[in-house]
This record gives sequence, C-alpha cells and structure tokens, in this order.
Amino acid sequence: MNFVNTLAPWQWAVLGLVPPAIILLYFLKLKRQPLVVPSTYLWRRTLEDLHVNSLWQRLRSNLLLLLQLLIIFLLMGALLRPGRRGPQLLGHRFIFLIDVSASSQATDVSPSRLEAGKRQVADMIDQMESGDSAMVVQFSDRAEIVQNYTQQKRPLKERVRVLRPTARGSSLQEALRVASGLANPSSARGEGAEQSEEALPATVYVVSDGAVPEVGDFDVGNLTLRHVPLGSPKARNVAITAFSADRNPDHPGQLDLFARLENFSSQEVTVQIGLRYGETPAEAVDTRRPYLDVKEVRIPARGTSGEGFRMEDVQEGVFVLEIDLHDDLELDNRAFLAINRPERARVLLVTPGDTPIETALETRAARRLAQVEVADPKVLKQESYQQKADAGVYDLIIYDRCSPPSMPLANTLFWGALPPDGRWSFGPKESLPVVIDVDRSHPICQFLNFDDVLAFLEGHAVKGPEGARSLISGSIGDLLVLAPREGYEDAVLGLPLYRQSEQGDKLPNTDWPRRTSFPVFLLNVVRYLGRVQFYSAAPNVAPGQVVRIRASTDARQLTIVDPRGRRHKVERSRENVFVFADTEALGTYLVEDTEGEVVRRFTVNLFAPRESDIVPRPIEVGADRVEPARVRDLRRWEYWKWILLLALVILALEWYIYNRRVWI
Amino acid sequence: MSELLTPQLLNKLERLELVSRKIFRGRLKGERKSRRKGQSVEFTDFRNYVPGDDLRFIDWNLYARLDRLFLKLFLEEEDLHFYALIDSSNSMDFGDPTKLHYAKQLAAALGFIGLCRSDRVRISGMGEESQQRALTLRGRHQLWRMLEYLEKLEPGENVPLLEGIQRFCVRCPGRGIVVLISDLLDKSGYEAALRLLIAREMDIFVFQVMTEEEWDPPLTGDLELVDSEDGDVAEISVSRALLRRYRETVTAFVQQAKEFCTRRGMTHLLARTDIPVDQFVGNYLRERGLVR
Repeated sequence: MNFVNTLAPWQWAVLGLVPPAIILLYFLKLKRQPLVVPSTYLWRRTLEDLHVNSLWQRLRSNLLLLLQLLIIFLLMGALLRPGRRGPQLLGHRFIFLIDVSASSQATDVSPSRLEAGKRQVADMIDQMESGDSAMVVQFSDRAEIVQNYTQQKRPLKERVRVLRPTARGSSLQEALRVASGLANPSSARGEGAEQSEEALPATVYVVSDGAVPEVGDFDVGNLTLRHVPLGSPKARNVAITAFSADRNPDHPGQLDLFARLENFSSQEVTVQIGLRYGETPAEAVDTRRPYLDVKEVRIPARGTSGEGFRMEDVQEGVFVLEIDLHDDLELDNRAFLAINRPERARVLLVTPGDTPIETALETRAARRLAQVEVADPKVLKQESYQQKADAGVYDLIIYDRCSPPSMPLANTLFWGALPPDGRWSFGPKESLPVVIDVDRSHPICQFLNFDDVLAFLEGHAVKGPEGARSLISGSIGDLLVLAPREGYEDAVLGLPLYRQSEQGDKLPNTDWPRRTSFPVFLLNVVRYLGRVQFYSAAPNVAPGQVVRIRASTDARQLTIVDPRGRRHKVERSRENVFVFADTEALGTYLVEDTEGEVVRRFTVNLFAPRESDIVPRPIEVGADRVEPARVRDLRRWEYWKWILLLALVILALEWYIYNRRVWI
Repeated sequence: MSELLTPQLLNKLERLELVSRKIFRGRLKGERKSRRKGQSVEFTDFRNYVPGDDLRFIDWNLYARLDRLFLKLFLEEEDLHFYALIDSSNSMDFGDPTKLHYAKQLAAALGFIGLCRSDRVRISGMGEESQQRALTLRGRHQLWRMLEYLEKLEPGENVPLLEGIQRFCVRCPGRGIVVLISDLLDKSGYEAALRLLIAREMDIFVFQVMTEEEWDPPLTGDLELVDSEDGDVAEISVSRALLRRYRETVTAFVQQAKEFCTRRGMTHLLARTDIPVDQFVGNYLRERGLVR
C-alpha cells in the first residue's frame, strides 16, 4: 500500500482544520431544550456513572457528529490516493498455460506449487477487465485445453480450481504448440490444436517452475510469452531415479537389485533407504511389515549414489524401495520393482530321431525350463520352418547330425554337424578322443564331469571362427566351441552320439547318455542358450505412457489392476497385443487372465531427474529467456474511488439519521 | 359527590375495614374488637377474684356451685388511629392524573374505610399550614369534611420529608396506622424521616407514587432538565444507553426503598398512577393486609 499526495502542505493544513471546526461547531450550536421534570435526583444519579468519561460520552451520544467526522476523514484518505502496485495483464486476450507435471506437486511453497500457481492465475483472472477474454490450458507431457476462450471469469476460475496434479513429465513445446495454434491459425497443426475464429495477438502466461525440457526454435508468432515462476530456490529433494533387477550370472538363484539415488539440493545429505518385499502390491506397500534391508546412504550435493541389494530365492513379487526423508517432493521417494515368473524358452530339436537328446529334454526339469518341439531334418527345407527361423520364434535350435540351409535368428547347438555359414570346420575324424579339460566357469559346463564316461569311440576336433571360446578340449583338439554371431551364440560339439559302421549301420559312439553329466549338460545348454532367465524384472513405464502387453495366453480379454485397486478390462487388439493407457498412478499394476491368475506385472515409476530437480529455473524458448510476468507488467491499483463511494454512502446514512431522528 | 371518590368506589369501600398488625389502645370505644379484655357483651374467659376487683363482674352462679369467687372477663371493643401523610411537594404535581391527585384518592379511600368503622382518621399534608388545618375525624358523617380538606390540599409545600414527619410526630403523639404517600424523591434522603416513624412503633405503610413517565421517560434530543422543586439543572443528550442506564437507576431506587422498609418492619408499596385506585385498594392493599 502506498500513497500519492495530491495537495500542497498549506492545503492540508486548511483541510486539517475542518475536523476540529466540526467538533467546535457541534458544541457551539448545541442548544438544549429546557424541560421541567419532577426531580433531577434520579437523572443525576444516572449521569454520575456516565460522566466518568463525559467528553467521550458526548461524542458517542452524537452519531451525526461522528459520521460527519468520518466522512471528512474518508475524503482526506481519498485525497491521499492510496493504492498498491500489482501485476497488470498485458493486452486483452490471455492464455494461461498451467504446469500440472510431477514437479507441480512439490510442497516447497504451501500447500503445493500447483495450488500456488492456481491462486496466482485466479488473481490474474480477477484483474481481467471487461471485454478481456482468456483460456486455460494444462500441460504435462501433453497439453489439454480445459477452458476455451471466454470473457466470463467464473467458469475460468472454476476450471482452474479443479485442476489436479499428475505424475507425468512435462513438455512446454506441446503446450506452446496448442497455444500457438489458437493464436496463429496458420501454424495450427499440432495435435490437439484448435483454431480460433480469428488470429489475434494474445499473451501467454506460463505458470510453471521451469522444470521443462528446452524448447528449440519455436515461432511464437503473435504470442507474447510471460513466465509466472513457481517454487522456492531453497527447495530440496532426494529422488530414486533408477531401480532395477538383474540375475547374478555366477549364481543364477540370486537376484541383484540396483538403485540410483540423486540429491537435487545444494547440501550433502545422508538418508536411510529401506527395501520392502511382498508377493502382492498391497503387501509390498504395507508399512506394518518390516524392511528386508535398510541402508544409510550419503549423497553429495547435486550428486548421485548407487546402492545394491542381493536377494535369494525370489520367484516373483514386488519390491518397494523407500527413502526415509520428508523432502519437498514425496512422489520420487518411493520406487517399485516387480519380478515376473521366468518364461520358458522355446527350443526346436531337429533330429533324425531315436536320440538320447530327445529323452533328456523330456525330463521334468527340462520341461520346466523349455517348451521343446522335435522335428525331422526334412523340415529344414520347408517354408514354415524358414519363416519361424527368420522371425526369431525359437530361442534355441539344436541340430542333431543335420544342418540348415541358412543360420536362423536363434542360438544354436550343432551336434556332430557344422553350421552352414562356412566359418566353422571339423578336423579329421579321430578315434578315441579323450576329454582333457572342461571350462566349468562357463554356465554351459557347470557341474559337468566326464570321469565316469568310458570313452568316445571317435570324434572331430572343432575349429570355430574368430572370437570363439573352447569350452571342452580333448586329446585331439577343441571338442566344444562357442562363438558369437550378431547377437546370437552358436555352439558346435565334435562328439557325436552315434557313428556309422562300415556297413552303414548306426552304432553308439559313447556311453555318455547313460551318465548323469549328459542331462546336466543339456539342461545347461537350454538354460544358457535358451536364455532362460531365473528372474525377470518387469518393465518400468513412465506415468501416462501406453503399455503394450504381449501375453502368451489365448484369452481375448485381460484385466489390469492398478495400484489403487481399480480393475480395467483390456481387449486384444488386431496386432495381437493388449494396449493399456491408464497409467497415471505410480505403483505396481497386475495383469490378470480371465481366470484371475496374475500373468504379468509392470510398474509405473517417475524416474525423471528433470521432474525431480525441483529448483526453479527460468524458461527459455529458442535462445530467448521468457520474461517473468512480474518484472514489467506492474500497474498501480487505486482505491480512492471506493473510499469516495463509501463516504457518499455514509453521507446518505447521516441524512437518513438526521431526518428520522434515529438514536443509538 | 367529590371527584376523589366515586359512588361505585364508596360502595366497595364500605365493605372493607382497616387492619393493624399491632395492638393499640384506642381512646374511645369503637367497633373494633380488641385483644384486650374489657367491657362488652362478648364473653372471653374467667379468672380468680382478687380484692379490689369490680364486684359487678363476679359470677355469682359459679360462687353458688363452687363456693369460690371468679371474675367473668369480656372482650374490649375499641377504636383505631389512622393517619395518612400526603407529600404535597411540587414533584407530586406531575403525570396524568398527577401523583398528588392519586395520593389524595388513596388517602380519601382509606380514610373513608376508617370513618365507616368509627376509627379515628387524620389526613394531613407535609407542610406546616396544611398540618395546622388538619382535623381528626370520626364517624361516617365526617366524610364531607375529609374530602373538603383534601380538595384544598395544593402542591407547592416543598418541605423535606424529615421536617414534615417531625412536625407530624409532634402533633400526633398517639399510636396507630400511619400511611405515608410520597414519591420519596427527596435529595436529602428519606431514610432519616422513616426512622422517626419507626421510633414511634406505629404500623407504617409507605406508598411510593410514581407515574409511567418516570419509569419510561419519552425523551429525545439534547435537553436541559430543570428540577421542579429546587430549580437544579441537568444537561442530557438522550441516547439509548442513557435511557437504559436511567431505567436501571429507577429500578434500583425503588428496590432500595423496598428493602429499607422491609428490613425495618414497614410495608412498602409501589403505587403507579396508571393502576386505578379501586384496584390498588381492593387488590394490592388487601394482599398486603392493610384492609380486609
């Protein structure tokens, strides 16, 4: 509040004499009417108490005098021209772009950045003059018009009032495209853009904390951009920006969890992080359950820190990692990680038949790991095989004494045969090769023991391409060789299970299939080359993103249970996938088949350092910084008219009291 | 008929009589039964003869039967002294009807009751002149003289209550019922005056007369109030707060007088001039035991 003096000192002096003059005249003009009463005895007793403050009583008893004085003081106040400096809206058409991304939930300003922004927008709407029109657009990673151009303040304020924050990222470019489409009809091409009736210049107020990706060159046309900054520079936040799981390659039964924590404040912090586990999402977030593990982490100012957890015997379920810290953004203090049941590998065994390999792949352990198809080498020439091989349907193809015309898009094991790509070769057939060394550090050869194998009657030394690794070596050279091939791996074993006699009869070449190490070897092959994962970390999705689910089930419909417990039915699409888009809430989503069985899980986490970094920043469009709305757009709001109006009302009241002889 | 007492009122009053809670010795025989023993036709008790008793009252029949002398006792019939003191100061000359007129009506009504029962009735003003004129009356035929005296009683005798009562006490040494009819608006206070009456051990009734205007003054604006007795001036600017305060003062003033009287065995009655006299005498005074 400030004042503008409109009178000279001598004028004030004259005006200052008016109130004493009124009081003086009041006492001078006061002519009391004489009235004879039986006795003044009781009146004297009455006046005794009231006379304690007689001057004040006289003033109080005369309402007219008080009102006259009040009118004079109000007139003097009006002459002082009281007013305040307040923001002024530029122009007559306004677009309010309100940031509802995840960072708008920060509580560094009370009660939250979005609420503070909504208040500011409501104030600005109040400042609109008649004839001004405005519209409201909310934006996160997409923009949405919540109120089209209108001159009515009430619907504008109501629409602003009901805005709710989201957990999404933010994209100012998208919002500007919508706003620009409304103000510059020629550029109205963006998604969601609407064309206004006429192209008129408009002022765009971007109500945001500045946590938006840089906007490249953007032609704002006849838009004037103004930034209404939100948030406090002292805001502090520690966030979990990554949380993932991986199998321990050395110990397949173990699961390694990794988390990355980032400190976005300017001071080093030490926080405690706690890991919870539950078979269902509800169990995992149940705060009454104890933590599986708690760690103390020191994170340098504006730095990161990584933490790992090692878990045993976890088949499926949900992990929740929490930071025990009340910072200004709670949204990123908790991360979810879902573990799905491992999926079985698809294995094709191409064999002339009558082979122990087929028998070994029919064991229960093998069937749990893999879905095995058996085919005759004749299929290799068929088109259906070729299509599947080229489509990468199989994870592993075992070629027993046969070879395909071309290499498939799958891992392969050639048993007594060579890959057709010409990079491999066999040495001469030699009799009684002896296994000398087994590389048990490799998963294929784990637990492999050839001590009880009597003999291989004949075999070939295998020579692989460059980069190949020998897993089993013998007296005649390398017997099992593994080599990479464009993202796949091929293994060639030079120890056939059968040999042909001179008469052409099929004879056993070894007693290995009768030994324990044979099924163990095949299980290792299926597990490694079939890429069977003991643990499968469910995919993480950013809030609001579309999820495409490829389910092995035949069901036409799936049910998805979101973290709030609401159930959504999803139909199978033409592309044979289930598409789900309602991923606004952070947490674990369950995918259930028609029988209610949980077939998959996926999680929605923020994991957006840009949103978690809540220190307010200026907004730049192209190379220009958007000017804050408050720097220049100030004007003086005067109150003298209202004071004068009040004085007139009091004057009317005084007239009424004078005429009606109202007494207090 | 005088304007003080209407024929209807007189009819009502004839059936009433004055009652005193105290025993007073009357000077003449009246129509009132006394608790004292004396000479009448109504027997009350016997007692043993002692030498010197009047032989005419010995019950000779009893002597014949018991051979002992007993005296027969009879109820005494006597008259009652009734005094009415009327405040005739200027402050009583207000209201419609005026407080003085109302006081005269009250005094006339009570006096008439006394005259009808052959009581000794004396009504007087406070001033010296009016007290000198005052007569002690007895018998119904004296009604005209009583009314004549009352009609001649004019306002303007601005004597303090104390002085008026002192003069009364000197002139009227007898005991009986005394009714003081006044507004008690005496700046020197009414307490000392009433104490004088208490000292006389009389059956005292104080009728405090007030008009409706005194309770709820219809005043507005800036006024200069002039006291009708001593010319004292009080300046007021009427406001709701002031009127509220005034009403509180009046209520407290009446309450104080009532308490003062009650504590000292006097009967205080507020006589508002808007209550008709016949209603006041017939209801209020009967309830308070002055008449029956």
